[in-house]
Amino acid sequence: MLSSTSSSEQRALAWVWLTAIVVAGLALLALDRHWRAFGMPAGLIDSKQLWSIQRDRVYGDDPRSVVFIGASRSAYGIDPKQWRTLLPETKPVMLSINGRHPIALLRDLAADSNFHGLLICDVDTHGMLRRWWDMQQEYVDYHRLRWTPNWHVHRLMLNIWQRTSVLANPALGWKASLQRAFEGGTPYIPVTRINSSRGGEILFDQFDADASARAFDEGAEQKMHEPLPPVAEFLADAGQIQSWVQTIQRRGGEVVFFQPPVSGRVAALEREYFDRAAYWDVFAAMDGIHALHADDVPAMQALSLPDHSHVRGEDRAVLTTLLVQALQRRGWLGESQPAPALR
Amino acid sequence: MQFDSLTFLLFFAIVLAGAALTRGWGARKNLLLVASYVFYGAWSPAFTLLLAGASILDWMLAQRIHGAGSSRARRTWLATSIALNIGTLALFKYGPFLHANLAVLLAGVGVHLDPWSLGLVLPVGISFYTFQSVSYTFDVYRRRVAPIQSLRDFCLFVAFFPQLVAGPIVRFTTFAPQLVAARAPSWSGLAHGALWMLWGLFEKIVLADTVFAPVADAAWSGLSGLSSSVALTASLAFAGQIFCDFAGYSCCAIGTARCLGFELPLNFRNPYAAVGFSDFWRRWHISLSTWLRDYLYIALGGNRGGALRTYRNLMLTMLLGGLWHGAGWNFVLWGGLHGALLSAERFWRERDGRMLEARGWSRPLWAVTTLIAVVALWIPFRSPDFVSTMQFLHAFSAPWTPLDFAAKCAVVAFALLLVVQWWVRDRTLDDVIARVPNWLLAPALALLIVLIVLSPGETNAFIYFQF
Repeated sequence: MLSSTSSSEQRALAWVWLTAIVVAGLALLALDRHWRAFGMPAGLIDSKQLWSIQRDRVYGDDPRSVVFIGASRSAYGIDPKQWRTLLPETKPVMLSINGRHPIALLRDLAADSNFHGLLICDVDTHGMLRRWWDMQQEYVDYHRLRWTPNWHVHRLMLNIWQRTSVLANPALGWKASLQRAFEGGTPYIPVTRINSSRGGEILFDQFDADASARAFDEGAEQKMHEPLPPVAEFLADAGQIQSWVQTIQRRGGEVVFFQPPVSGRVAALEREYFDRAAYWDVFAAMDGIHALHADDVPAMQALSLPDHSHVRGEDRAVLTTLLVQALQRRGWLGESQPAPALR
Repeated sequence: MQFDSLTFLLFFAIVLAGAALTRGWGARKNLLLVASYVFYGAWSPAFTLLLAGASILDWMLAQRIHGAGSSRARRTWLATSIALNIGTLALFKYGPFLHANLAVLLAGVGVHLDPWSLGLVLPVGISFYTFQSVSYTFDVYRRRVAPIQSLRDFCLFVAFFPQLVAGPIVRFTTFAPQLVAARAPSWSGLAHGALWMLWGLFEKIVLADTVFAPVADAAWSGLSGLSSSVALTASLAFAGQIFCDFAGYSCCAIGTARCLGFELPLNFRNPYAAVGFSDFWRRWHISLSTWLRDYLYIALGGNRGGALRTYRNLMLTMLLGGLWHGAGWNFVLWGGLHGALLSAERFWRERDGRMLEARGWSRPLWAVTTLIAVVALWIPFRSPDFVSTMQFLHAFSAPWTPLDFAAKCAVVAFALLLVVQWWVRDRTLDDVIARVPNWLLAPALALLIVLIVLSPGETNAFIYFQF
């Protein structure tokens, strides 16, 4: 019985706990120092929970929400802070997810009767193919079924821990470390950086960008060997996308499709394989569709893309400004103040 | 709120400090009741209304049962309580399942039923608190307990946050005395409770989520190309995962309650060291199996009324026990197969007149048979449907492929789990801690803390929350 625990036993147990906490603390501190010396940075790690915090922010009129959905090109190319500086009457929300095309989220936001903001959808023709529609569904399902106030608070506290200690990185977990001890190798040092509002950038100075460019080019070559859907089939699917756009528009919202700049074989994929006139332009001409192609903005085309697919961290503000200007020129941002010219 | 979330850490620190600083037993109980509703509301604030409604109703109905003048009236009030509780459970948990099966039946006679369109979300922990509440009205009906006068105390019995969402299913007779005598956090309770919590978090975060779950999840998400080695490893991994997940939760629940000065019953006693199927059910989810025995098996007649009735009651109890775990035929199959094994064991024992497990030579053989059967029966439990179960079983005839690191890790961890369970077979965590010298306990605790911190992944929901 606990009540019969003597005071000497209680003291002994207190010492056990104190010793355990001190020993564990020192061991963890030593590990943290070791990995920092190895070059591992402490920083936020993207997750469904971090994403869900932003997903909760898509509502509201004052300021009006501007929601970015897409994959890595907007996740690491659009600077929400710069957007807010240019258009202070808006609230940028970053929902783009690295490596996943966004149609599932467009579908989800169309079905969300409370959403009536501006949606900027980073997608290319390839990403609009039906076979990729469900890539972000996992995130949508997580937010719909498992996201609770408990996890919101948890993630806010986890942000503090991840900023404080490199040990929050799963690559430095005991299991990953044990695997490296048996099989060799070194932990992967993150080459991207993200903040709590999910604005991110790629740290091109920390890895071989040329090798990455070659990998993207090879990926593009492989995509070109995939069977191309007939234009009629593509347009039928585009019609479904159009219906989701119109649903959002009927609630007072707006959707702009944006194809960010690319270069190398990645660009060739779009130019040669998906004949722009037959696919993208026909989609762009559909009723109610606003679609901006980076090829139509010379300043965007002039941006340097070290890996042929993403802008440098320091160019995110430039790309964001060019995007704001291009949208304003087309009248797709409503009554917003014109963005200042780039220096 | 989950025990393995940082939110809980913050919440518990506040509750603990509040309970320690609050003067007066009544005020402390008020605090614990509010804390329990905050804990539950962290999932879905709306469902706290359902919890409160169910508690108030059962509190009132128990008074009616007690005050009724005739047996008939008592039975009527009891039936009302059961109907409301089981009806609510059926609506939220079994509605789509019952509807889908009814649609199939009606389609056979040419009647079309529209798809289930209510879209209700299953309130977390509803199966647990419903059973807890029903056991109370049953006990009042059977005159085992007098109805509690304080609505606050009854609501606290149902909603007490350490055991609210995944048990142990606490009986009123166990909890009521703890509501009478004042209790408060103490250093001793805190030190022992924290040990239970740490062990529970180790089982959940390090073993269930980091070692076992990735292997089991990968296998069940890619059933088409499964090899026999991966199928075997995944079966062991899921057996490890579900034990560590659920036993981990129970340890955290017991530890949390103990920190606050309360005692909850043991829910697991090294079940993979069972010798025989009845022994397994005396060790696995003890609070549920004893609940089913006392309120279902015995209510059905138990072993009174001849052998056939006994087997029928056993099968019915296990089938319904299977269904309690989820609205799906796979759970019914799982319960039914366990019922069949229990019946076969009973038949053998009655025919032979001796305890199988008592024989020296057959004991290890019987233990291995039990383990293999229990692990194999987790396959339909884990599979979403019959087709997936058959696909998984079919993989055992596929070629053997080399295991990756994660799979090897899961096999080693499961083997260690078995060794530990056999080693401490009839001991509780308290017994084990009492035998470990302090010079060994301190580094062991430090190691657990380090391993927990070094297991950073996406936090997974406890499996039993969905039941």
